[in-house]
Order: sequence, then structure tokens, then C-alpha cells
Amino acid sequence: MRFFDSLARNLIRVGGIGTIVAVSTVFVFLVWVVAPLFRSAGLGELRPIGTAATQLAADERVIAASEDDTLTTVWAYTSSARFVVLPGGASSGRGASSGQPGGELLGEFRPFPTAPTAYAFPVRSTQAVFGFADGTTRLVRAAASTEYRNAASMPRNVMQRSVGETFIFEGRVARRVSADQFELHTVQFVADEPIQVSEGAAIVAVDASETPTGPVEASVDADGILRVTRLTKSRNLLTGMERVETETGQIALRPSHSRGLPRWLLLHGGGNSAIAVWEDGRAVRVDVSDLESLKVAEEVDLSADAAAHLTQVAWLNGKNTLIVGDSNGNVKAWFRVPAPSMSTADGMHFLPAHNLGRGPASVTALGSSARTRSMAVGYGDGTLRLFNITSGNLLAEGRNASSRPLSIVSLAPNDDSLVAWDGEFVIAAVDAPHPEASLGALLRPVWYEGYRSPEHSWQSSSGTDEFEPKLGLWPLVFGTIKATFYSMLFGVPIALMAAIYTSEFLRPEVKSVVKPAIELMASLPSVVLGFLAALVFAPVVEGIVPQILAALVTVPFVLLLCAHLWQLFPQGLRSGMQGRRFVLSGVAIVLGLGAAMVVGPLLERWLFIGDVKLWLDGKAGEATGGWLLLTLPASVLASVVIGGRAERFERLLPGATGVQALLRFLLLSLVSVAAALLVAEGLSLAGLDLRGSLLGTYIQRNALIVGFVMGFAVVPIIYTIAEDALSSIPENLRAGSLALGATPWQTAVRIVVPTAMSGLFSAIMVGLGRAVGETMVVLMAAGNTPVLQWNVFNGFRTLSANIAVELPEAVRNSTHYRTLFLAALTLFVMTFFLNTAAELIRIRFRKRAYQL
Amino acid sequence: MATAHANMLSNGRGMMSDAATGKTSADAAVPASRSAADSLAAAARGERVATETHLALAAEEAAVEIDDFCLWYGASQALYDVSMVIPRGKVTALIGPSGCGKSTLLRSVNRLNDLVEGVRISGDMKLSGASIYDSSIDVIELRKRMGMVFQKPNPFPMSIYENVVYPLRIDGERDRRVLDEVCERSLRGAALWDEAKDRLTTSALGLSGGQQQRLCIARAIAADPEVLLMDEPCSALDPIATGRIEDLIEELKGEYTILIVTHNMQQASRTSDFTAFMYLGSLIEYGGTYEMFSRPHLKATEAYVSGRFG
Repeated sequence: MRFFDSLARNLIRVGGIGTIVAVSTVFVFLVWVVAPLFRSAGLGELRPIGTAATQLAADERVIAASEDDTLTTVWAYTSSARFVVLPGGASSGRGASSGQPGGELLGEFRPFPTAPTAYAFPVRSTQAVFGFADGTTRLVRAAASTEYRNAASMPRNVMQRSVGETFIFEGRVARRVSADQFELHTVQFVADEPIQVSEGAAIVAVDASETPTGPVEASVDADGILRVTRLTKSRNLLTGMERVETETGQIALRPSHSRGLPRWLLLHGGGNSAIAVWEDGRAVRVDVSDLESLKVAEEVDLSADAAAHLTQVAWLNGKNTLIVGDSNGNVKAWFRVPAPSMSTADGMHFLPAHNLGRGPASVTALGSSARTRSMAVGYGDGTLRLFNITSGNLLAEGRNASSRPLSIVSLAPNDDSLVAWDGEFVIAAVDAPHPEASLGALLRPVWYEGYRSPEHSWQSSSGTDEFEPKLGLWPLVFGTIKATFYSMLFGVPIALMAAIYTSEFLRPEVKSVVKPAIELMASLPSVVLGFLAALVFAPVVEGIVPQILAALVTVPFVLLLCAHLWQLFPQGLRSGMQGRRFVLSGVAIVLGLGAAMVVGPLLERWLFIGDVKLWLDGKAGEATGGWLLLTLPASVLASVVIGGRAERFERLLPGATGVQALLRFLLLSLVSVAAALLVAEGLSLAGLDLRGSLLGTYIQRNALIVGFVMGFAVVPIIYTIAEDALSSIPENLRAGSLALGATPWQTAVRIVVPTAMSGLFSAIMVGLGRAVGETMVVLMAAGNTPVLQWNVFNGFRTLSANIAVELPEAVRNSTHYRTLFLAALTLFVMTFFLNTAAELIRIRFRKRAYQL
Repeated sequence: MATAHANMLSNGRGMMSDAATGKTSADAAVPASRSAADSLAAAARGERVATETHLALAAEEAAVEIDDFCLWYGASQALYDVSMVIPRGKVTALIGPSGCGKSTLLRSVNRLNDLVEGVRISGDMKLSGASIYDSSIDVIELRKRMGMVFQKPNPFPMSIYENVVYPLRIDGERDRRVLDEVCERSLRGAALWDEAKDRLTTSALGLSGGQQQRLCIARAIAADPEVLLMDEPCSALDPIATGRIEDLIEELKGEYTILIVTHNMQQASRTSDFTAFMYLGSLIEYGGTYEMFSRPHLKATEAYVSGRFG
């Protein structure tokens, strides 16, 4: 016996501790996944790659450089109009330790007979565009290539290399991958045929963008003519021949304060707008969407202060945000936003959205990341800073040991390394896996590209890598709160009323059927509820919006009217029918719904210009109807209070109280409706309108639907706990109240409900916990649009639904992935606090109940 | 329910046979001689038992009249043709062994039994001449004319003040002066004022058991009822608290008509003016308390009051 006792005790102990451990483990795991989001970025020491500089001519400058994604090779374009290839960070790092390989050049590529007069290296630097003195432009593509070779085909002298070792072989970076396989890395260049864009005048600035329809090139020639060429490639399906069509538009750049030719030309990623920038900060933005008529959209001044001139201008990834650096070290990010009054030719306005602060010296180099909105900035004193533009955060800062300014900075494709040039090649390891994440960027409004102002936004992924991820959690938290609010608004009154009715008024044998039936509702899978809501309920409701709104009024009205009529029946008949009251109230509700079907269309014609959805769009009709939704409940509440006071005086009058009550009820209803109408009309005349806040455009899957259906999911939980709390009130309290002449209703409201209050409260809290975490219903019926609107008729996206939708698509350990875990952590904390609060209140309630 | 009732009946028979063997010869002092076995056996068989009502009651003005009142819980009958008159301004005690229907009768007076599922009645009761069970009667109004005190103190979980004025609150009384006045009067009436006047706003649940019961009495008399129903008001209290309640009943006598159910024969003899002895749902004997305890007309009554069974 003692054995079983101790066995049971230990089993229970293990179970209890196990539960606590399991929950804590979940919490710890979530924190563990989320934590790297907030780890600060690291920038390794800047160190030279071997002795590459000695391979360049003394006066040869590096104009552009890029590392490949395996970090084995670096290519650079120099002032001698040649491309050179040398071993990258990964190979030289190993080489340095083994004294191998040095900074020797692996190869060079001289594509041009004459030196170019202009060049541009777009962000995703697989291609470069050059302009020449004869008015032509050429595209050059650089591609890192990797070849695998069997050990058998390699000469004997490399066979002694150990696995993993890197060395130079036949002008390529070689690495022994395994005993019988070698990897050979190099960069290959392909130059396109020249395109004649200008007759005779030299090209002074050039840029190119890759658009879905083909490349777009822009150039400015020595005469100040801006030309945009769109190349459309089409392939003949029958012959397989590829044909390139070119289409060109031009405009003369004549800015109001012209000082010669622009220094930079920058073409937007979409190829629909080009900006010519002068060194003094003046810029002309040209709308190039219609090649037949290029139009100057606006002239802006990009300079931060008058004493400085621009030193570096570069696109951020996606070519929508322009990073501008000046001789005082200021760095700003500019992008287009929709102009408020279409004041420019293309309706856009170029704005300095982010100010990244002032550096220690003039800006000497800008290097955009090819995968995030990060930018490496080199300053004149050798300082290097890494910024994230979206969040505006300084991620990391480093300094060139030699203090020489970095004239080129280029981030590797995976943001894990950077290559720079300060007279010789310098590389540094970069560790910035989650540059866009910070508490501010996740929770506060952020000024995203193309937005008019900083906003809360959640849009985690898109079709292209150039997309700026918007990871604002607030819309999701808001969606969760909205879903919870509307479902509680619907579910709590119904559940509590039902619980009070069941425990205080229903006969025990009916109760013994009703209660399990409602509890059975809880076992309905929420995916079924969501499915019904989305595919059955939502389309039906969409067709009968006015009727639904009318039902909110007619059902309670008809129910109360029937109750008053019931009082008119003789006492004897009433006591005889006592048992069937339940059925009769069901009939009254059906009558109320019927009335709503009749009244709904009338209301629609009268208050909502005959079409509720058109009215909700907010373009037509008066605001009165919308206000009624608020003023009517308020005036009903007011008249109930006033009516309650009046009841006392009525007691003095003997006689047919049933008729009196009925008359009073009708009078109060009329007065309430009239008062509500009056106030609504007044508010409407005062120019106030609910549309745009609480009401708005009707979307089929909306908060109303979710409120109904999730309310349906929450009702059984609240009902069960509330009913238990009410039933646990000792019978002698009820008897005591009834014996003093209180009606069952007074007993319920004045004695039972207040006594059970904390139990009821904890029921609501548990329901709240369920509503907060509920996933399937909102996933299927809420439309999943992460918008920040209280509008009942619009959708939303909750934390839980968001996790369910996006987690399968999120790349493991990416910022998106970790942010989803942060959403889960937020949800965990929210439900944890709700449930803890509910439990604390329940404990208090239990203590109080023991006193009775 | 049916089996419980059957048990009750068989127990009754057991007791009855004990009484029959224990007391074979009728006491000569008993005027109207019916043997104890007769009436008790008849009651046990469920037959109609004629109530032995003392003449002393005929002189009293009736506050409540009970006429041939029968009550069934579902199929089992709990009260058999009870007819009695509760005199106005007097204390009437209902005594009898457990399950004899005292509490049921008491709760029938203010129709609290209506709440029990499956209750049926026949016969009638009258409060000051007006029927209690007529279908045109408003039960709520009826109950307001009676106060009731329960076996276990049942103060509401609110302040002492709010407990006392509850009957006025449910009538919608908001006048602070009226409420204050009623509160003081009722608490003084229930001899609780001195103890409670400084803590009116504190929770009633903080009072001791005896104080709670007096609070319930104060609440019961707050609405100035005609009749005060007390269902074993002292059974959950210690002797000192019981003594105070009994003193209180003494003080309330005259002002209120009091109907009290008690298990405690001494209490009945101490506090009441009239005593009714019930057995298995029938009213056996009803008369002045002194008579009932010293010279009961029936053997059965004497057997019970002298503690030989029950």
C-alpha cells in the first residue's frame, strides 16, 4: 500500500514538474530562436589581400570591385580599362596562413579598344555598362564560374594538396573538395555589342536597369542630351531566333541652375524614372515611362548643406532608394513617394526619408548590399560604417588600419564579406545576418520605400530579392486584438446571458440537456468553423448586410415585446405554460429574425442610399445611418436607466401593471429610437462620420464574420466556466433573496452574479485566451490582410494566422523566420499573461467562495 | 426520493412500535384519550389524521390560516391535510421528528416551495384572509409581506448596511434617509446595532455566526413584514448565540407574528406561545405551549415532548 502511495506521489510529481519544464522549454526555445535577431552585427578587421597592389600599375586606380558568393575570387575594374581577377577572401585567408597563394592576378580582360568615358556598376553587379567617346554604350557581364574536375585529370603535382586546401591552378582558384575531386573557380566576362545611342557626342554618364521586359539603358552625352533606350527581346517561337528591338527617347537636360554636365546618371529599377545629379547637389528627375515624350518630373536639391558638395551617389538594392554622400560626411537616403496633389509630371515626389547622420570625414565610397537594404559607407579617414537603411540603424563600424581612405567598398552577395580598395585590396569579414531587425523597426512605424510617411506595415516577402521586407509586428498584434475584441463583443454577452439563464431560470431537466449540448459545441474543430465561415457564412452575410444590422435591433426588441405581451396573459395560463417558456423565447427570436428580414431593406433604402456597400465605401450618403449603430445602444441604455427610476413611482399606482409595463416599454422604445436618430442626425450634420474609422468599405471576409464565428468557438468555454461559477453559489443565498420578495431576475443580478463575479471574470479571461490564440477561424475567415483599421467590415491578420501562413515558406534562420518566432513569442506572452491573470482571479474567487 | 420516503415510513413504524411498547397504559391526566399508537400509526399508513387542536386557539386572531393543506414532492406526499391557525402577534413553534414536514410547511407559507421541481399542492393558506395560493396572487408581493430566517445564516456577500436594506433596494428605494433609518431600526430590532453600527460598510461575511444570524433577522424585518418565518434559526449556533436569538424572539413577539421551526424542545417551550406537533406530514396536536408540554391531549405528543422518541 505504501508502495503505491509513494509511486502515485512520485508519478504526480514527475508529471507536474514535467509540465512546467515542457512549458519553460517552449519559452526558452522561442527566445533562443528569436535572440539572434537582436544580436549586434560584427565587422571583422580590415586586412589586405596578399600583395595585389603590386600587380597593378603604379597609377592604376580601382574603379569597381566585387567578390563572388563563395568568396574565392574578386574581380575589379581599373582605370586602365581592364578587368582583373584575383583570389578572394576565402582563398587568400587560407593562403595567408600557408604562405599561399599570394595576391597574384589570375587573369585580366580588356574588352574595349578605347577607354570608356562613363561607366556604371548596378547594384546586383553581374553586369556593368560603359559609355564611350564615340557615343556608343556597351554592356559587360561578369559571371563567377565553377568547374569540378576529377583527380584523375589533374597533374601529379597537385595531388599532394590536402583536402580543403586552396591554391592557384592554371590561373584559377582551385580547392580540393575531396580525395578525388577539385573545384576550379574563376570569373568570366562577356561584352555585348556596342549600341550607338548618340551621334558623335561622347557619353558622360550612363546607367542601366534590368526590368521584366528587358534591359533599359540611360545615358547623357556631352551635349547634355538624356537618352533612354529600352531593349525588348523577343524570341520567334517557330525559328527560335532572338530579336532585339530598341526603342529610344531623348530630352535635353536644361536645369534652371545648370553648371555644366551632370556627374551621375541614375536610372530607377523599374526603368521609369532617371535622375541626373550634379556635384553641387542639384538633380533633375526625368519621367521616362513614356519614351516618346520624356518629361522633367522635378528638380531637387540633394545636398545636405550648402558648404558641401556631393562625393558619392549610389542606388540601394532595388534601385529605388538613392544614397547620397557629401564632402562633409553626411549620408542621406532619398526615394520617391506619391506626391500629395499630383504636382509633378509622374505624380511622385523625391524625398530625403532617412538621415544616416554625419560621418567623421567626407564620404569616399558607397557599397550596397545585393540582398538587404544595407549599405557600407567608406569615409575619408579610413572609417567604414555599415548601415541598414530601412531601420536607419548603424550596424557596425570599423577602421582601416592604414587610415587611408577607402575609395571602393563592395559587399559580397551574401553580406558575409566586403572588399575595399585603399591603394591595395582590403577585405573584412561581415557578420550581419539580420540587419533589418531591431526593436524599433519591429514595433515602431518605419518609413519604407515609396511610403508617404513612416508606417506600421507587415509584408514579409515578395517575388523578387530586391523587395524591401516590411516586418512591423504591430499590424499583427492589432489584428489579434481586433479579432479578440469583436469576437468577445459578440461571444461574451451571449455566453454570460446563456449561463445566467441556464443556472437561474432553466428547469433542471432542461438544463441537464442544454449544458452538455453547448459544451459539445466546444468540440467542433475550429477548422470546420472557419471553413463554414469563409465559404458559407461570409457569402451569405455579404448579401444581407442590412438585414444583419437590423437583426441587432429587432431580435432584442421582439423578444422584449413578447415578454411584455406574455405578462398580459392571465396568471393561471402563464403558470401552466411556465415549462414552455424556453420554446416560446425561441419562437420570439425567430419572429425577430423575420422582422429583420422585413426591416433591413427598408433601413437600407432609408438610411443607406439603397445600397449599404456603396454607402460604406464612403463616397455617398449621409453619416446618420452609421452613427445609429452607436447612438441606438447608448440611448437604449439611457432609457433603461431612466425607465428603472420611473418604475418606483409606478408602484404607487395600483392596477393593470402588465398593460402599463407594455405601454412604458413601447414608449421607451420610441423615445430611444427618436433620441438616437436625433443625436445621429446631429453628429452627421456636425460633419462627423464613422466611415473611415469604425466603418468602411465592405470586404467579404471581415471582422464581423470572424466575430460571429469565433464568438461561436468562444461561447462554449465562457459558458461552461461561467455556469459552473454561478451554480456554485450556495442555494441558501438564492432562497434568502427570494424569501425577501426579490424576483428571480433581481436575485440573479443583485446576489448571484456579483457573488460569482470573479468566476465570471475568469471565464471571460479564459475565453479571451482562446480568442487570442485561435488560428483556423481567423486564417480562413479574416481575409489575412495586415491592415490597421478598426473597420468592422474589413479583414485583418492575426499573429497566429500569420505564423500558420508564413512559417512553411520562411527560409530557416532568416530574419523572416526569426521574426515569425518573435510573433509566436509575443503570442505566448500574451496568452500566458491572460491565463495567469485568469488563474489569479480564480484563486481569489475560490477563497471568497469558501467563506460562504 | 421514493425510496427515501419508504425508509422514512419504515423508520416511523419502528419508532411507533417503540413508543407502543414503552408506554402501554394511557396516562389518566390526558383529557381526550386517544392512544399514541392510534394517531401515529394512522399517520404512518398515510391516512388522514384528525388534528387535536386545543380550544385556546379559538380565541386568537388569525394571521395565517392553513386549510386542508396537502403537498406532494413528485409522487410522494409530504404534507397531509394540515389545518391550523397561526395567531397574530404570537410565537408559534413547529416541532416534530426529522422529516415530519415542519420545514416544508414553513416554506409553503411564503411559497418558497414553488421553486422545487415537481411540487404539487392542494388546499389553501390565507394571509390576513387573502388566499396565498390563488392563481391571481403575485408571489413576489406575497413574499414581501413575510420575512424568513434560515437554518444556516445566509448574509449576502455585501456590506452589513446593504444586507439590511436589501428588501428596500429591490423595491427601488434610493432615498438615503429612508434607507439609513430602516437600517438602524432593523439592526436595533435585531439587537445588532451596538455591535455593527461602526462597521456598517464592512462585509457581512466578517461577522460571527450568531451576529450573522441576527443580521439575517434584521434583514427579514427591514421590510416590516406581517409574518416572520424562522427555520431552525439556532441550529447552527453555539449556546450563547442561541440564547441571544431566543431573547430577540422574545422581544419581537407582539410586533410580529412568528412561526418558528425547531428541533429543540426546550427552545420551543421557552420561546413560543403555541406549539404544533407534526409527525410524518400530519399535524398531530396543536395548542398552547404550556399545555402541549405539560398536559398534551395525545399520548403521542407526550411521548415526543418527553423525549421518548424522535
